[in-house]
Amino acid sequence: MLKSVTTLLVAMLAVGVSAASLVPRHDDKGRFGYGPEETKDFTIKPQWDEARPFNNSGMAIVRKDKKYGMINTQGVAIGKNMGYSSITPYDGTDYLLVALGGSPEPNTNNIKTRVGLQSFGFKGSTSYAIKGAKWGLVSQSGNEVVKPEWDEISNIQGDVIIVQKGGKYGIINTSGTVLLKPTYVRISPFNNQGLAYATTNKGVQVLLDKTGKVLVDEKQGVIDFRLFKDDIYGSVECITTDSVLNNREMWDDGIHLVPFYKLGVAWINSSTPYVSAIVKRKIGKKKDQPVVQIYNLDGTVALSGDKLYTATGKPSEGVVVVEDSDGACFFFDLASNTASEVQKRSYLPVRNGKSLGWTENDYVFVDKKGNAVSDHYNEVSEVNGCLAVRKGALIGVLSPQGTEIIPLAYAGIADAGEGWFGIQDSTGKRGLADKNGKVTVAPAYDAMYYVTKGYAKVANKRNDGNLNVGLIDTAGNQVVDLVNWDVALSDVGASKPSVYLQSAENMPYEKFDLVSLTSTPTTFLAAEPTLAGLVVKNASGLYGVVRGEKEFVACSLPSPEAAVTVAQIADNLGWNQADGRRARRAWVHMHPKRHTYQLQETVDDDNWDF
Amino acid sequence: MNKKIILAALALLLASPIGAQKTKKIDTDYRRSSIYSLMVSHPKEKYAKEIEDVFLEIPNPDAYNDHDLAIKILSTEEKIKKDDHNTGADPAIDQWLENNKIASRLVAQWWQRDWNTGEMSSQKVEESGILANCTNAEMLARGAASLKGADRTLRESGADLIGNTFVLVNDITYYDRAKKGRAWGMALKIAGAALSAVNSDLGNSLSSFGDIAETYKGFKVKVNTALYQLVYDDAADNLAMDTWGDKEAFESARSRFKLRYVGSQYSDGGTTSFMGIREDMPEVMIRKACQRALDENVANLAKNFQAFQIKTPLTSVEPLEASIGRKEGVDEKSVFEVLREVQDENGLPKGYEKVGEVVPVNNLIWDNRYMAAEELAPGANLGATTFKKKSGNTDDFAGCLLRQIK
Repeated sequence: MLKSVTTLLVAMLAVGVSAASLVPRHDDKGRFGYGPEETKDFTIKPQWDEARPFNNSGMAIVRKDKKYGMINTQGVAIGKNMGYSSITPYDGTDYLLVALGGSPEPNTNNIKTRVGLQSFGFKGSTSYAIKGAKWGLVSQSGNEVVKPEWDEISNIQGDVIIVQKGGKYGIINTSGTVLLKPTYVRISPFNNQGLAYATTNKGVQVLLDKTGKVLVDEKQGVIDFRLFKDDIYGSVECITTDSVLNNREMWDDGIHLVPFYKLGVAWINSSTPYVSAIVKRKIGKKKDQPVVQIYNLDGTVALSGDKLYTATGKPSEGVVVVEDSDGACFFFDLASNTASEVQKRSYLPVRNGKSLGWTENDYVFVDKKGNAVSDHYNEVSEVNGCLAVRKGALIGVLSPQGTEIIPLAYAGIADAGEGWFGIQDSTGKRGLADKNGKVTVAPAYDAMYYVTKGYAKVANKRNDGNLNVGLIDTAGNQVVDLVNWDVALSDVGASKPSVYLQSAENMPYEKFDLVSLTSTPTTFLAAEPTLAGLVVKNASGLYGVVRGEKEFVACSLPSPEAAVTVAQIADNLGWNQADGRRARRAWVHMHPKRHTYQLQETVDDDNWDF
Repeated sequence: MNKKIILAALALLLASPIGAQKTKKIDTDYRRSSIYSLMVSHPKEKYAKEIEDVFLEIPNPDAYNDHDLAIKILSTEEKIKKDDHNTGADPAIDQWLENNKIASRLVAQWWQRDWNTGEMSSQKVEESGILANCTNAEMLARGAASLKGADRTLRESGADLIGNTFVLVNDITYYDRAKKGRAWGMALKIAGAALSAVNSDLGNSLSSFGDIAETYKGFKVKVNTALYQLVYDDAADNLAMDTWGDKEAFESARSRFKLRYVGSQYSDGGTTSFMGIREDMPEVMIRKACQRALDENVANLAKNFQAFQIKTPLTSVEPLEASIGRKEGVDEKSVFEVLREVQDENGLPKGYEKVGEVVPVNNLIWDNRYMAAEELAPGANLGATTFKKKSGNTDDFAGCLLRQIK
C-alpha cells in the first residue's frame, strides 16, 4: 500500500514538474541549470554555459563551451550528450537542424567552398562555418528524424529533402528514408509539378520525380531540360541560374525557383504538362547535333518518330508547332504522331482549335492542320481580352475564339475602361460599344475619356479650338451638358464617382451631385483624376488628394506628383488621412532627390521636412 | 482632496496619463537622448550603392529616440578627415551642418513646426512625459496644452530633453580585400571565356561566379562617426519661444540655432562572421558588417563622451539585470555606476546621485548585436545582462539607472 502510494506520489510529482514550470537560471558563477519558476532552487544542477527554455515538447538546448546538447526535464541527455556543434531552427518547420560532431571554424575566411561550384539553399559545413560535422534533423522532442550522416542538406522541398554526401546529391524524404542515393553532381529544386533535373558527372541530365524515380534517364542523352513558360507564346525558359540569382525580383515571382547553383538553365514552375529537352543526335553526317525532344510528365516521349526537330513551341490541345533543321515548319499531332507541313510563320499555341499565325503584316487564324480559317489581317493586337484586327484602314474586334464582335467598320478601337470598347469612325467622332459589341453611344464626340463607374467625360471642339466638356452615362444619356471648361471624374475611395465641374478657365471647381444634379462650390482651382484619387490644387497653389467626400491628403504639397506619391504612401501605411504636417514629411522622405545631395551642397529648403 | 480632484480632471487634458505605476517607464523615456543619423557615401568606391541601401534599412540605436530629418545620405568624392586626436571634425561636415541649418530643423521637429504654415505644437515634448513626472498640483494646473509661457521650471525640463539631441555623421566605405581572392577568380574568368564560344550561357555563368567568389565572404567596412550635440540653452529656448508660430520670424532666426562638435570614433567592425547568412542573400552580409561597425561606434562614443552616455534602468534587482548588452559595448571589463534620480521641491527631476557600482557577471552578458542569435553567439538568448554589486547597498538600487563609466 505504502509502495503504491509512494509510486503514485512520484508519478504525480513527475507530472507536476512539467516543461512549463521549469525555467533556466544561473548561479553566482554564471553556470546555468533549471528550476521551478516559483522558487530559486535548482532541480537540474547548474552545469552549462547556456541553457535555453524548455519547449512544449519538454526538450531544452544547452551549451557547454562550443558544444550543444539536448536534455529532457529530468536533465537527461537526448541524442549524443553535448555532441553537436550546432542545433538551429530549420527552414520554418518544426524540425531542428543538427550538426553532429565537427567544430566551429574560428576564422571563417578559411572556409573552402566546393571547387567550381557554389550552392545556395543548402545547409552544411560550408554555410555554417563548422568543419567536419554530419548534418541531420531532429524533432522538437530531440528525437532523430533524419540521421546526421550528410555533408549538407537542402531547404525543405515540400515532403523531400535533397542531401549531399562526398560531393554527390540524392533525395531523402522527411522521415530520413533514402529515395535516391547520392549519385549526381548537381540537382535542381523541385517545381510545382514535382519535377527536378539532375546532372551526372558526364554532364548528362536526368529527370526526377519526388519519389526518387528517374523518369528520363541518362541514356536519352539530354544535355538540357527546359520548361514551358505560362505566357501566350508558350516559349521555353532559357534564363540561366546565374541571371536569376543576380535579379532578386525574380525570386518571389512565383515562377522562378531560386537555384542551388550558378550553372545551367533556371528551373521554373509551369502549368504545361510537358518538358522540353535538348538532346544530341546525328543529323545526316553530322554527329551530336542539338535537337529538341518533348517528354510527358511521366518521362515518356511525346514527340516520337524518326524526324528530328531543332525548335519547338508549347504543345497545346494535342498539337505542337515544330521546326526542322532546314527551317521548315510543321504542326505535329501528338496523338497520331504525324506532322503536317505548314506555311512558315510564327504561331501561337493552339487555343479553341485555332492558332494565330503571322509574318510581318499578315495575320491569319489556322486550324490544327495549318489551314487558314479566317480572313487575313494586317495587324492584330489585344484589347479587353479580345483581338482588335485591322485590314487596310478598317478595324474590328474578334473574340479570342476568332468570332466577330465588332465588324471591320471603324477607324479606331480602344479600351475605354470597365470592359467598354471606345469606337472611332472615319470622321474622328467617338462613341462606345459594350463587351458584346453593341453600340450604346453612337460616335458623336470629338473626345471621350475613360468610363468611370458607368459615366464618361465627353467633349466637342469649339470654334476657338477649346473644348466644351460634359458628362454622359454609358447608355448615352447626357448627364451634364457640354458647356463646361472641364469635368473631373474620380471613383477612387468611393462607391460612386465624384464629379467636379469647372464652368470656365481659372474658375474654382464645383462639386456636382449625380443624384440631385446640383452643384456646391469648392476652393479647388485644379482637379485631375489619377489612380490615387482626384488631385486638387487650392488657392495657395498647394496640392492634395480628394477621395470621395474627404481631403485624403491635405493640400500641402508643391506638385501633383508629390500629392500622388503621398497618397500612395498613406495607402501603404494604412493611414486614414494625411494632414499637412504628415503629408509634407512623407513627401520629402520619398522625394527622389532625397539621398542624392553632395556634401558640398546646400539642400533647397523645399526638400526639408522641418 | 483638492489635489486628487485636480489630478483626475487634468488626466483628461494631458497627452499622457499620470500615475505612480507608470513612473518607472516614464522616467526611462524621459531620459532618453535623441539621434539624427546620416551617412557620407563615396559613390566611386566599391559597393557604395549597396552600403547606402543597407544604411537606410538600419534603424537608429534603440537606446535613443529617433529624431531623423529627411536627408540621410550625402555623397562626396573627397576623403573625410579622421579625428584621431580629437582636434575637430572634418570642415566639410561642419560646413554642411551649418549651411543647411540642421540645428534649427532639429528644434523645429521638437516643436512639430508645420513647414507650410509655421504653426508649432508642444505635443511631441509633452508626449515625452515631462509633465507626467510632475507631482506639483500648481504646475499641473498651469496647463498641459502648451509649454509656451509656462513656468520656467517646466520649460527647463523640456530644454533638458531637447538638449540631449545628437547628430551622428557616419562616413562608411568598403574595405577592399579583393587581392587574396583575385587570382582564383581570374582563373575562372579565363575558363569562362573559353567556354563562351561553345555555350554562351554557361560561359557567362562561370565568369560571374568568379566575381562573386571574390567578394561576399568576409565583407568588411570602415566607419568613421562624428558626433554633434544640439545646443539648447536659455538663449535657444527663448529664441524658440519668441518665434513661436511666426513663420517668417522662425525662418529669419534659423542660423542662430547651433550644434557643437563632441568627438569622433572609428571602427571596422572587427571580424564579422557570415555564419547563418544564406548564400543567396549576400546583402545580409553587408548589413551585418555595417550595423556591427555602426553600433560599435555608438557604444564607444557613449563610453568616451559623457554627454552621449545612455542611462539604462535596472529591470530587476534580484538578480541585478538591465536590458543592455554587447551592442551597447558591455564586456567583461565594463563598470557601471548606479544612479538614483533626485527631485526638486516641485517634484521635477533635478539630477542624479550615485548610490553604487556594478559589473557584469562573466558568461551572463547578453549578446544583442545584430544577428548574434543566427551566429550562435554565446549569450545571444539571454535577453538581459546580469550584474553583480561592486559597491553600495543593493537595497537602494530599485528604480535606479545604470551609466557606464568604464
